[in-house]
Amino acid sequence: MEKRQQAVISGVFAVLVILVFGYFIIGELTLPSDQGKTGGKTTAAVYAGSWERILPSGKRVKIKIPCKVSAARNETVVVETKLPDRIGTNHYLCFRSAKQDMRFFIDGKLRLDYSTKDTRLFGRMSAAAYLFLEVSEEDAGKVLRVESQTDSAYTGVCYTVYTGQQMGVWSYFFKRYGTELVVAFITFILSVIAIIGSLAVRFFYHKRVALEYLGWGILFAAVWLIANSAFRQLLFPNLSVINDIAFLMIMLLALPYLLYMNAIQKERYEIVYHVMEGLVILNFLVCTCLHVTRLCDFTDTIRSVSAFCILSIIVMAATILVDLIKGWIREYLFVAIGMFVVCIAAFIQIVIYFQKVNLFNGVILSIGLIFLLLFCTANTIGEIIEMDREKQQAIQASESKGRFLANMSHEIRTPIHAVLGMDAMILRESTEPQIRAYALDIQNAGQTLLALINDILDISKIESGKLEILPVTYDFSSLINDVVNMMEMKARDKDLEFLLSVDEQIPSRLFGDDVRIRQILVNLLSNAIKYTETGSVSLAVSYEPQGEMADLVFRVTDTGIGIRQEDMEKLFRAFERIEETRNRNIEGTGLGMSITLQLLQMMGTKLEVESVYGQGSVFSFHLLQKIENKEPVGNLEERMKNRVDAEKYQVLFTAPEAHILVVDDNSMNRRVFRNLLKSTCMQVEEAADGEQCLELVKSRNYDLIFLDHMMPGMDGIETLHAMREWEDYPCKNTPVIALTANAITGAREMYLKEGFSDFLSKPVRPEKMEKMIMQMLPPEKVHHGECLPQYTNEQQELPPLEGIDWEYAKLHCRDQKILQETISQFYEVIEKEAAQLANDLQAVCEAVTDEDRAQACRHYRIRVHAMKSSAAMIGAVPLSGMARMLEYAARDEKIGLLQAVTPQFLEDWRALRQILELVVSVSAVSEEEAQAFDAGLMRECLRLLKEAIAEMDIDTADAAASQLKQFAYPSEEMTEAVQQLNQAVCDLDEEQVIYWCDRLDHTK
Amino acid sequence: MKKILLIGGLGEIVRSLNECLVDDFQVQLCPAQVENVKAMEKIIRPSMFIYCKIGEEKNSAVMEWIRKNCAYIPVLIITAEQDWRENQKKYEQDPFPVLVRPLKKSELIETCYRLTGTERKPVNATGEGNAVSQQPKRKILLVDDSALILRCLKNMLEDYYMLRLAKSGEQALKMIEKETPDLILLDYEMEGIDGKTMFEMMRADDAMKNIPVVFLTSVADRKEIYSVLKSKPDGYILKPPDENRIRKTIEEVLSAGV
Repeated sequence: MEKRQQAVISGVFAVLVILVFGYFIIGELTLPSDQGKTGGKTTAAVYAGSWERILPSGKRVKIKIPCKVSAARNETVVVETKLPDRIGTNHYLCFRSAKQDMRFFIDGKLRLDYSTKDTRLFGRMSAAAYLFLEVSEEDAGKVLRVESQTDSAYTGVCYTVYTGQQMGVWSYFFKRYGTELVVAFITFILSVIAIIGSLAVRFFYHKRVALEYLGWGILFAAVWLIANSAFRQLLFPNLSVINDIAFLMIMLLALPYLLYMNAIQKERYEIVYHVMEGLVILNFLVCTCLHVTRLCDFTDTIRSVSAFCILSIIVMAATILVDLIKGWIREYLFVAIGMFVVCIAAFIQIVIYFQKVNLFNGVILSIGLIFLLLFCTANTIGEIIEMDREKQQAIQASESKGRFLANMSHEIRTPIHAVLGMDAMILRESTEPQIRAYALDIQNAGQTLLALINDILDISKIESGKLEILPVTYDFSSLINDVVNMMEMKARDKDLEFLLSVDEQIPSRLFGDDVRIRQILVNLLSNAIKYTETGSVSLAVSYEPQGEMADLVFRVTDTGIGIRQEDMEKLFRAFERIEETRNRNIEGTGLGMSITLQLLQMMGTKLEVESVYGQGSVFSFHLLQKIENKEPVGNLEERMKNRVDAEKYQVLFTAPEAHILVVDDNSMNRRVFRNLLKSTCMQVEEAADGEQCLELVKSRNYDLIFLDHMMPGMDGIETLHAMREWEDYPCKNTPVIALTANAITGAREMYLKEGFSDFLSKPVRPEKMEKMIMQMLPPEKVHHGECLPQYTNEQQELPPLEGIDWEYAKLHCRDQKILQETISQFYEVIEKEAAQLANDLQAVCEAVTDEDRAQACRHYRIRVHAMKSSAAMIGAVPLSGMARMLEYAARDEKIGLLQAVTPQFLEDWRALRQILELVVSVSAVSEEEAQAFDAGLMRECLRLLKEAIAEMDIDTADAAASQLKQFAYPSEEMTEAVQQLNQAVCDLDEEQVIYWCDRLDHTK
Repeated sequence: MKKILLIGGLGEIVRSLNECLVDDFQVQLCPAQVENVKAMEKIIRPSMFIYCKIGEEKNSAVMEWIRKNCAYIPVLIITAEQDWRENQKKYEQDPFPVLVRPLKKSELIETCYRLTGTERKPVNATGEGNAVSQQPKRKILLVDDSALILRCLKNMLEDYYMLRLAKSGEQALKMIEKETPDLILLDYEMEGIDGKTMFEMMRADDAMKNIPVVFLTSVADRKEIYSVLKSKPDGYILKPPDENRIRKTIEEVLSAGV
């Protein structure tokens, strides 16, 4: 809406502007002039009298003005004219001094003497100026003598003489040179704007813009034009100074352009430019020195200045030409065009200058410069836009990095939850010391990983400003208790003494963010323990009451390696670690300290470090906390010792009548939950999403519901809200506990506000969960005492094998015996199937025509399809999945994929043989057991086998085959044949069975 | 089910004996040659022998062998009345029971149960209680090109049904011709004649079109399942088969057929 209004107003504005300016231009051009009506018209004209030069010899020569008479340098040139017979009042003759000292005599009387001898600091000649000689009626017809003298090349220059009233002459000049002045002023203003703009950009973007140089360049040109203009004597009091300024400007002029071009061309021709710049500066210094010392005036050195200017232009043109050839010109096309325009303007200007021996007029050059400035500004604006875009991109990249980190840590936490949960199950259920040891290792590594991810999450939150300090009322003793519990173990593991000293007067309840304080203390203490090899680590808390507040000083002291003074600064930087080489074996991301510092900063305090290198360090910080309960905390150290023993006692309970509902989209999580609760004998039901949960709570009463927050579709909070909207349902009063992997500070409050009874962070800690369940369950359903976990004997029968999911296998083959048999049979045919698939693959590869290939693919597909089913049957789920992929690939005739994956598949497939060996009871017949070979009996067996296989009487066939296996055959060949036969029987391959039977029958 | 090795020449008598026993025992016929008996004993490991003497046949070698090598296995001798009268004394020396033809089916079965040391299932001539066990087992043909699946299915189902197995469509068709099953469990995906083709062939054949067919399929592809369903089989089961499900489906299809 606002945008539209803005657009409408802009449109109206544009129309108004066009109307006003249109009226201005058209009106002034077409309507008749009013100038004749205003009266008081001042006039001026070129003086038309004839002039004579009086040579030093006294000879008179007629001359025409303007001209340059030939005279020796420094010679006084004398010219005379007879004034007109009639002269009006307030009449002037206007001469121009070309750096000459001039004296005017009428009738032998000195009327005007112009010289800046006594007002100038430097230089040997007077500045050029317009001189007004007042003539009255009395002077009519008298002789005017003009003497001019200068120590310069201007000796003998006589400019046009104007006559008229003073104002008239000026207005005449204004008409002639006014444009020049106005254009010069405009140029000046634009250049100032360019300079200010560039400085602003420099200030806001911290980047120098090349336009600044150009601004200076144009400023110099503008000042030069103004200082050289006809009106300078009206604008500036001291003519010599402004004259000098004009020269100084022109001498400096080349410098900013060189700097600008060098920057624009990305310093490709740095050396050339620097040399050029050096020369210009040198020239400037030399000329100035000469001028100041009056050895040589600016006017005389102007040639060298011009030479350097031209040289600079040539250098720039050359570099632009090179860039044009190499194509780099695209980077600064606008600038090049601008430069070109200026060159043309300058050229035209010079031509005009030489054609009319007259005053210098800089209009065209000024316009050229304005063009240059505009083009360069366009170029610079383009650069600024680009810069702005880059800045935006950088900001965006940083933001998405933060988001990525936050998401990642959530994504990583979920699987870790599963790992730790499963591990907790192992620790609970397994009695094997070896396995428990492994599981403990997993737990440690998992906890470390989790801590790491939490660190990363914290730092990304701090960086994005999302982390907040959330003060709550907390129990000081439990804070210390938690920290000590966590840290004492670590210290003990490293054989370090852990000392605790807490002021007994500290109030028991305080108001502050205990989670973050805990984090800070844990960080400091674990750092201290990490970097200490021998000695002790201590935590001391002292206290000073300050009215309503408690001023606590936490002090963590260690006897570790200490910190060098020069490393102190590093300590406070993220990801930096001190003495990287020495401490390589110490794990950590280097984030801990950074987080600690930032947290302390957010709490309005800071960390103080004292350290003696090699002896140890003391980290301390003050903390102001509001007192909630003044009762002193008492002797914590004593209490802690007693507590340690009490903690070891674990509360165990059973609640067989209790019904619990677990809602989580991740089946693994649900399984972990179910297993963790196994020992409580509770009845656990599961729901995979919010909808399912709603169905279930409608149907019956649960004593407790665990509801995952993050779920696809309806999330936990939505589910709870939906539930609470109902008027009446069986679970109306059931406590609902939120499960979340995103345990941020303030989560508890948030969940309570949303209507949950409490929340549990994943990975779930069994003790915490059990305590919570105990609190939430109706007391009559809770029985204290242990319910022994039931060990399932199946697990002992089938050892866990890599790549095989017994649970899955059992889903289909409930009977252990059948499964075992199936596995044995599978085991027998592994090699055969593999060989056949390899053949099929070869056929696929060798197929020439499309038809052949389709056929071969079909064969391959059917084979791999069968293998897929077989693998699934015994629970080799990954392999089955691979087979499925191959099946689809074969269906779509993706030959490349088949070729690439089949070998790996076959390798894995064959590897099953080794894996399954553990569970297959291989009834290898030892030599002693083998029965004596009985040809008759064998033949009978073979006959029976053939019959049985024809009828697909598997039992008989198997029996016959196993009987055949038991003979001690006289030849290797027969043993081999029997093995083949056995495999064929296993595979129920009639053709092969008959073939090998016949072979056996006929071998002797 | 106990195994019985029925020794005797292939003839009318042996066949009728076999028919009498087949519902209660697993009977294996065996020619009355020492060689054969020796092999069969090894392979079948029967719980008892039935030695059927026919006519004048007097091959005592077999009996000799049994007495010598398998003294722990009970033997039932069946003989003709004439023979019994002639050699009564000789038979009475032996510990083996002798039944004389013509004999009653119930007598034969009871003797067999006694000898194999098993309790006969409560056969209540009028009993309503155990209808399933009274009914002859239904015949099911399993067709799958994977031996593993065949064996697995066999292990799952053999206690409840009479099973015939086929490893290919061709073999299955042969078997159907020989003996019409009550139901066919048919793998959808096979080499050669695949399940679909076979199913179509059966439906086109008057003799076979009424046999119920349950497809076994592991195609988790929706398209394939639709195409299976489109051919309107009597049921379908996804592989790997789940024992309970498969039995439930079979029972449903069978009872629908009745």
